[in-house]
Amino acid sequence: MRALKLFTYLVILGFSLSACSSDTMPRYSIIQGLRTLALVADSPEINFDGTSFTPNTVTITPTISDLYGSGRALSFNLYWCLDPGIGLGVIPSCDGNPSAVRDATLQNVAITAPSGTFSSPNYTGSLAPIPLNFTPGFMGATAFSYYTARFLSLTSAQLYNGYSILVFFELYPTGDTSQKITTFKRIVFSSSTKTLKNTNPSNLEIRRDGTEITSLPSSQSSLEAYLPSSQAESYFTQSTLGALSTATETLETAWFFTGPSDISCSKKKECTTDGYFALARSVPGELNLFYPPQGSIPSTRGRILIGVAKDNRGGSSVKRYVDGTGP
Amino acid sequence: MNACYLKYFLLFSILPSFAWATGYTLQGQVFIRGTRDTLEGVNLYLLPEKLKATTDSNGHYQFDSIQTPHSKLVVNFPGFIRAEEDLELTETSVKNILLDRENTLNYETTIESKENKDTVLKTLSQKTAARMPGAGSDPIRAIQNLPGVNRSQGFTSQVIIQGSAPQDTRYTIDGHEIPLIFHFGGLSSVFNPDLTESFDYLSAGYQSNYGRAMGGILNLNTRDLKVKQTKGSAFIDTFNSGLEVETSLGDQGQFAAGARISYVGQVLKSVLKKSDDFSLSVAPSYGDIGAIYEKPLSSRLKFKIAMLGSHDALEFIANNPLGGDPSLRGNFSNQIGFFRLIPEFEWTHSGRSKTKFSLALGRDFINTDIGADYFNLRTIAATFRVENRTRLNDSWLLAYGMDHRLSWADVSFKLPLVFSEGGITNPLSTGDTKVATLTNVSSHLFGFYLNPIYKPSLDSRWTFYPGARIDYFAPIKEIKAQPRLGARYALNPTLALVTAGGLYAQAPTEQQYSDSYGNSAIKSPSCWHLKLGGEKDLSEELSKGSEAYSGIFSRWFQKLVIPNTTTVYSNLGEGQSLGWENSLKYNLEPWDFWMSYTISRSTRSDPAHSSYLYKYDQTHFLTLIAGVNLKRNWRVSSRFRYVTGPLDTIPTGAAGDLDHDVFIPIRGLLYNERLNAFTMLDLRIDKRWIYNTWTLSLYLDIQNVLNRQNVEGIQYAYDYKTSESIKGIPILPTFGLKGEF
Repeated sequence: MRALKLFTYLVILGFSLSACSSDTMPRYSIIQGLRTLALVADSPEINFDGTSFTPNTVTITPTISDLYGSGRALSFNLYWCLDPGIGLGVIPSCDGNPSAVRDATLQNVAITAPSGTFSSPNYTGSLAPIPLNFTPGFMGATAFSYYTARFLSLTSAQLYNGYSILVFFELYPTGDTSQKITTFKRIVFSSSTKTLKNTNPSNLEIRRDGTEITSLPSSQSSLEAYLPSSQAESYFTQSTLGALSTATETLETAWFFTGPSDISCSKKKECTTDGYFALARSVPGELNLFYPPQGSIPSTRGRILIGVAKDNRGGSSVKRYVDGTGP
Repeated sequence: MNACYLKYFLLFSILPSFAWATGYTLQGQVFIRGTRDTLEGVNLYLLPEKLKATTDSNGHYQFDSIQTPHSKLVVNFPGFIRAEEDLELTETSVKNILLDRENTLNYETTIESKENKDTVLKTLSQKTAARMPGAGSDPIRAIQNLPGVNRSQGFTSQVIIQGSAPQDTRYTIDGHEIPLIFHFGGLSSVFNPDLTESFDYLSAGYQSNYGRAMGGILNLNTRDLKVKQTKGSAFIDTFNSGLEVETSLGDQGQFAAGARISYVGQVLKSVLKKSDDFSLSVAPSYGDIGAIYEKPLSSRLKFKIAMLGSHDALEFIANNPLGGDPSLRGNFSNQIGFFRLIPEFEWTHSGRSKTKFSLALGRDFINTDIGADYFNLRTIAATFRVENRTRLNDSWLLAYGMDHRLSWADVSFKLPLVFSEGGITNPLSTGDTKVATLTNVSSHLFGFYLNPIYKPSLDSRWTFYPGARIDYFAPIKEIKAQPRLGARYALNPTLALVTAGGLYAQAPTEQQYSDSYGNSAIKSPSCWHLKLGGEKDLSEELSKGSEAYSGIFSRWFQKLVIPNTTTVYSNLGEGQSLGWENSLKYNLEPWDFWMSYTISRSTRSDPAHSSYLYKYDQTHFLTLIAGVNLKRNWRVSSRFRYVTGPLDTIPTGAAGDLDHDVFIPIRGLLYNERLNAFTMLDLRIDKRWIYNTWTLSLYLDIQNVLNRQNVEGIQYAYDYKTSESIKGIPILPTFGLKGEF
């Protein structure tokens, strides 16, 4: 009956999208305000033996946007803690969590424009990688002891399959935390018995007719987020009885595209400035229909398409395309 | 000579007498016009001779020795229009009479409550409930008009009783549990209305012959067939069509069967706008079949078997993630079906004792695909009821019995744990996914009850209903004893005070106690009920059939199963609901009125949240129905409803989970926001054309005739920063045509 209840909920959701939605709600895939679009860890899965992590430094690369922020100064906070049980409904937060690591060097950090990707007039792109230090010296002995304790409390199967550390990234206009955007990503630690750790999918290309695009089409066209099939890794999971079973990652690409400044006009044909894509996500081989804007395209900034390739285990990579003015 | 004259005198005197004795005869049958049903016990008068005849069980009548060929036949029978006809008789005349009902469209929304029945039982007959405005000609949908039944939100079809949860209501057919009562979207119930006699609504304080439901029971009674000749009907309306036939098999019994099929999907497809996001790949459809066979096996043993089969299917494609949740993308399909075969034996041992035995055998299946997730269930279900009622003496009527449900299931699923609290569901992609394939999972529930009725003396004003029920929930190995008590005090023949209460427990759901999905330590939740009320028959004061009810109810819930962030589920929930129900039925020909009003409060609490208003708390619920019978079998009726607005939880923030591209809501105080009140006006127009042997009915049922934009809930943007209202049904006309022969 739970499945029935769930299905009823989905049907209502589906019909509300189709029949009742007024197209005035902001959409996840359309960049309009202050956003954190992706957090990419160079090592989405690391080894932990109860006393040390390998590697003990993981970098996080945020991809953010402040498209209509007029170049205002932005800051961020970064901290992490053991997963308190989000999968069971616990609020995603490190507040009150004794495993939380909030180093002063990662709080209230002013964002600077690295290598031209995050600057006027688009303010949409990736920041410089931020190193996270998973050593007891950096984390503090007390916080680290909770990681050790968690390691010891997990079964061998749980350790093989991995346990999540939540890395939070808070983005806000400098001096105004009321507009703070809180996001997080998981870095999974697993035991050394799992020798093949997860890696990020790479080589994402947005293609049209089999060729990577260099600009956005001027007419309605089908695009594809291409990922080589080799990027779908095979991996093992361990059952509670210790048996290993094999699986293959499912790859998917999230599409982000710049939109109009009017937040209530995200997808209406009559007011879109950049055009829009039919799909917010696609799997390899799936075509995504691009609708160009009916009027003129923005002249003071470029239109930016960001593809975020993801596996279903926390691995990700970002590809950014700019059409028109601006980096 | 004198003797000779005397002979002639006698001869000529007697001859006319012979002429009288051998005069005209008149015979025939009395039918109800439009139905071909005969009427028994009808008195017919022949004027001017003032002869009288009465119809037999087949509607036959006969007048003999009629002297006057020019006669007038007069038929007067309660409930029918007086018929008069001038006749020119021959020696053996035959005249069939067709009587017109006084009012063919009047509904008798009767609420029965009699001494030998449950004190809280309310019964609505199929024929009358189906014509209530807003019911769309489905009698069970009329249950919304009863006091104490909460309005279910939006497009759902749950029956929520007196501030309980939807899953606290149990649906049964002839006392046997069925998995669902409504087809897709609640447009239609699963059993053919033409095979339905009535349905029973049992709320707070129901007696111990039923159980395993903290909220109440909705029981559908199949028809007792009284078929004399082959009859049938066919209908077509906006969403579905169907037919029903019934026939007498002579000594072999009586049989009726019906089937319905929907085309609601085609209607939906035509109204849904073209969208990149969503498309119906398989139009939603449903259908059902039903049949009843009855045969008296002897003067004391009656056999009846009912059959029900139901099927719903829906499939759609979500090109874009539903609700912004990327895991909700792709193909979605759902099929649910079940059938039941319900043989029943009723054995009358003597005038004082009767035993009813019934069994329901069947299968249920559910196949659900939710993107990459799935849930498949195959169940063999067997429910078993036996009850003996014995009149021990003038004071005691003893009733006791068993009410078991056995089931064996094969289930496979890959589903995320869905955390839902305060009416907000976390994105599915963030829930831990559970995968399992289980075979032959038994979940047997056993119930034993004692349900006597005690009346101290024949003229006593008191009637007591002491009872007890013991349920054994085998999957969780828990025995639950539940005492119950009811009483009725007749202040006078038309006014009675009633009270009822006790303990009511129900088994946790399979997923709640499942090792693979939930928490095997979960126990049964339970609830104490109390009801106090008064019933008044206003037939004498106002008009026949008028009646009123007023009463209070209270429920105390304990060990409610709630989501738990450590153990998935826990028994740490508690709650209370309290309310005052009122109903009034008033007939004033050609008008009839129905009013029900409930004021109530329903709260819940758990260790993480102090007492808060429950999702189904509806402070005021007013229903007003008025109908008028017009000439030529027209009827116009209307329903107005006012319900306090639904409750919603306002998120205080959200955190973006960038591994899944979703935001997880952070909830504020649970159900702290009251949305706008719900008001709706429905209108129904009925017309019936009655021909000699068949009837044609037409109806137009317009829900929300003022097209009011009722707010059913709040839909949030992906980051929970902006929101918009989810509107309820717009103006929804349903048009139907039905022919009966």
